[in-house]
Amino acid sequence: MNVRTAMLAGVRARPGENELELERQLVVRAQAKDREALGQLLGRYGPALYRSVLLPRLGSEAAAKDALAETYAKVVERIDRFTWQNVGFYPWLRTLALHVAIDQLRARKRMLLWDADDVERTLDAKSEQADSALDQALSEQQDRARARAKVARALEAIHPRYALAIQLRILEERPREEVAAMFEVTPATFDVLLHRAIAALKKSLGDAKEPEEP
Amino acid sequence: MTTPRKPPIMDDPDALLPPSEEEVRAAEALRAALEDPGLAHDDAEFARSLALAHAPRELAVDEHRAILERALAPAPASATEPARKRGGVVVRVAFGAAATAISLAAAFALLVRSPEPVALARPHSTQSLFHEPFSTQGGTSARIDRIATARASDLRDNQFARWGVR
Repeated sequence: MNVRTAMLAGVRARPGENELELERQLVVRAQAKDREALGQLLGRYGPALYRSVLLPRLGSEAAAKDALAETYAKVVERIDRFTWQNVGFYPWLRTLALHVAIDQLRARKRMLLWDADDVERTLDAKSEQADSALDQALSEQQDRARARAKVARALEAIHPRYALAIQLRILEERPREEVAAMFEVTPATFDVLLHRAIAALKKSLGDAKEPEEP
Repeated sequence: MTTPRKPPIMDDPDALLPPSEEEVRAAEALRAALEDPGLAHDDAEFARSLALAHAPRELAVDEHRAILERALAPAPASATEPARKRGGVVVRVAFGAAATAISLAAAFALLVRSPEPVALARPHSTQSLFHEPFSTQGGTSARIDRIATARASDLRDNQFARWGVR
């Protein structure tokens, strides 16, 4: 979903003034070492950060939890360097989390859907948005739409039969026997098909790392 | 939800190739790893990353609370904690006095400290961006693009450094 669609879907493009002012006060308190205020800020945005920013990019719940913990540690350490810009706390928090994700992806040896360069491109696009008052709900919708689009583009690059195997078994998590029946093959033959499909997808991603849509 | 139509099998380049024994073993290992997330397997991990990008799961409230509490917990008292338990009134008073002194010093430091200097990119020549000789005609736009990209990168890095997000 793009910005326009999200706005048409009824997501407000800008938090209310009162809401922003309350958030600004929380930030001021947090910068004065008020842990409760900082806890309120992180408690409000942390779950969305995990769900829409860290988990899709890092591809594992354990890695995303580690990254969230590291992001929080950096917030505690650096909150005094945050400058209120009337766009709320979330853009800063998200940028911090993306930097943590980049570090994790650089250290990772295995192939994932995202690599560090992809996330850097997201950051490049985001730095231009940081001055605009996108609220967290809208930013989250954009992040999730971007992740789904990336999966869709990756699947479009391989044979439709392979893409369908991955769609049904991996993305929709349908039972192996059910998907095998849909393909009119035995479960064991479907296992081979899925193995070939995933190998083809990894090869396709490895061969051509496409730039991510901003 | 309607099931997408199965593509014709003849379109599949590998459909008519019988799997090798090695391929059958690899497919079986993938199946086992998909059914048991505890098994380490590169392709299964990759497959799960696709699923999580497509439909990310919520973080359980309890787990989030635990992560948050760990982040916000004050630094451990380390060596002072066991000593306080062993000692009597005298030790408690001594540590109390020390803690007061440290608190006062910390408060003073907070009052007088200046913000940490942030290392920013300095203005610099564009010479390092060009290693090839300029042609007498054309290429101006490409050179300007290269300079603009480098300057945008510096600006972005400075912005991240000021925000404290690097």
